[in-house]
Amino acid sequence: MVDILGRQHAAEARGTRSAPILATRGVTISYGDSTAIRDITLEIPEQKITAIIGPSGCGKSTLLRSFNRMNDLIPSVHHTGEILYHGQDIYARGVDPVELRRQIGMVFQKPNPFPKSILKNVTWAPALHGYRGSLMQLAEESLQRVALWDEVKDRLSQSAMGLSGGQQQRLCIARAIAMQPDVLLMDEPCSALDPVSTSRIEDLLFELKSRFTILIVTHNMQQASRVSDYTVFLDRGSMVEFDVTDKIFTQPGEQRTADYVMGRFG
Amino acid sequence: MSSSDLPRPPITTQRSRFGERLILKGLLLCALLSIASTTAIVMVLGKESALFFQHVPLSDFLFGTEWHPVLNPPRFGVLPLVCGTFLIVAGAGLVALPIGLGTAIYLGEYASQRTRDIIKPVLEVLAGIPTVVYGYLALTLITPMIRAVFQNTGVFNAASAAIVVGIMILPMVASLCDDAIRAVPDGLRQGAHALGTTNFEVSTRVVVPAALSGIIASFVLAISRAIGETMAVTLAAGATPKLTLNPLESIQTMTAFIVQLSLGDTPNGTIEYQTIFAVGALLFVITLVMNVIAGRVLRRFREVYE
Repeated sequence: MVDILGRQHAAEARGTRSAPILATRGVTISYGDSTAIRDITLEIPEQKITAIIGPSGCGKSTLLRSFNRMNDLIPSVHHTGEILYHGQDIYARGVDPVELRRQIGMVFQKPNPFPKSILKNVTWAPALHGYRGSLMQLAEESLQRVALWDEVKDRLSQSAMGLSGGQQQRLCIARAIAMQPDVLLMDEPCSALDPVSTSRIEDLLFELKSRFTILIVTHNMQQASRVSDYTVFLDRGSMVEFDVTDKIFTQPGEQRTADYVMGRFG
Repeated sequence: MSSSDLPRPPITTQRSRFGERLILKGLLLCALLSIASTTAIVMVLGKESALFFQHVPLSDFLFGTEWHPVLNPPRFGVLPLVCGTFLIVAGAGLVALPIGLGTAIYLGEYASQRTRDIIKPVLEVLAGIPTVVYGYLALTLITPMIRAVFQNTGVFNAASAAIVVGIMILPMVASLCDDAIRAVPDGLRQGAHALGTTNFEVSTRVVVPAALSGIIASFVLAISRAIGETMAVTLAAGATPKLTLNPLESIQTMTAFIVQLSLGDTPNGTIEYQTIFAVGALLFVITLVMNVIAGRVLRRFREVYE
């Protein structure tokens, strides 16, 4: 079933969709003995927003974290299948996860600014990687792109811990995009935020789409339907459906998808 | 179950809960006991030191450079003892602080659970060894090693004592730094890793700075422990109050002096007897200040993530 959809998607990709920047082929990921995601094959189109939805514990985050090998940091995790970035297996010999993560940035569920100054939060990693341009300019651009510049420009040297939750999360997005990644992985970036901050970040996603490919995990149906171009629906570790967002929400191909997006379970 | 199963006395009952009050009093007594003993210590120290300072001006005591209270004429300049203590503390710090922090970084950021399960208990054993054993370790193992390298080293020398005191406070530094490092939210590590930084960069540039207050507090506490350390320095460092910074010489620390004089038959009420308390009071003030600093630093640390 998933395979048929996969082929449908591949056919469609040749027509209207842009080339996949990320892809998985039969990926299964387990934590010790328990399988988190099972045999997932999908292709993430470039410069689009793809939402990953599904009930709690369905493996959304595990799937998201597989794309920048963040799962490597958990000792018990192992996987089978292939994860491709620009067609290259990211687990092939010689692939350095550190380099991979420079190109595939990530924003987390809980805002996690470093206990450093606001400026340092943005410039820390680029400086470490030997950024050649002006760090100040980079910080201003990044903060402007997340619409935070005006709020913090007078207190760049103050600790980021003093910002509100929504500001902290935008700072974390600025921090990620300052690395000029290709892809931005977002793991429920709004779940710890109030509605106003949430809508600001959603607006931001549209802005960022022109520059980055965005993968966003969300348990908020409205958010998925509002912001994303494509939607992946996972349930109990398996991919139920992957299609254009409009289709998932208006005429899903699977009964389970329909039940979930209508709020009948999950 | 009917509503009559549970007795419902009127809410205005005057029954005194005697047992409960008794327990409360008992617990209060426990808490007061430590306050009482601290107060008693301060009073004894204060009283005897006050007598001492009737004979010796405070400035002579604090800034005098000669210390031989039992010779004739006696000299009560405490600086040689402070200097001896400083030599031990500096040496012990040089040994324990970097190794302790390094151990903590390794345990917190690199070691597998299995390695932790081995290293942690070993550190705890190290912390549980009686300090007199460390003294003999210094005399029988460390001193000969130092003498093999620097031939003119005395049998009693500051370096040897400093090294064992360093080993002694190492578990404390490692364990407190480990606590501080483990208290750093995992989200920070993940955030740093997600920016494409190496394990080393994450631990030294993000985790250690985030845990810095806890780390500094552990340093201060360890140093205050080194200042108060007695047995090992009495055995290994000698009993020669000397204003020197050469670690290969025999020196005497404040604590070792107190032991030396307490072991002799110094008559109660004499000035020699009172020097013990004057030096003890100084020691008390120094460690108290250190502990207050550590407490302050730690409090700042907690504020960060609340």
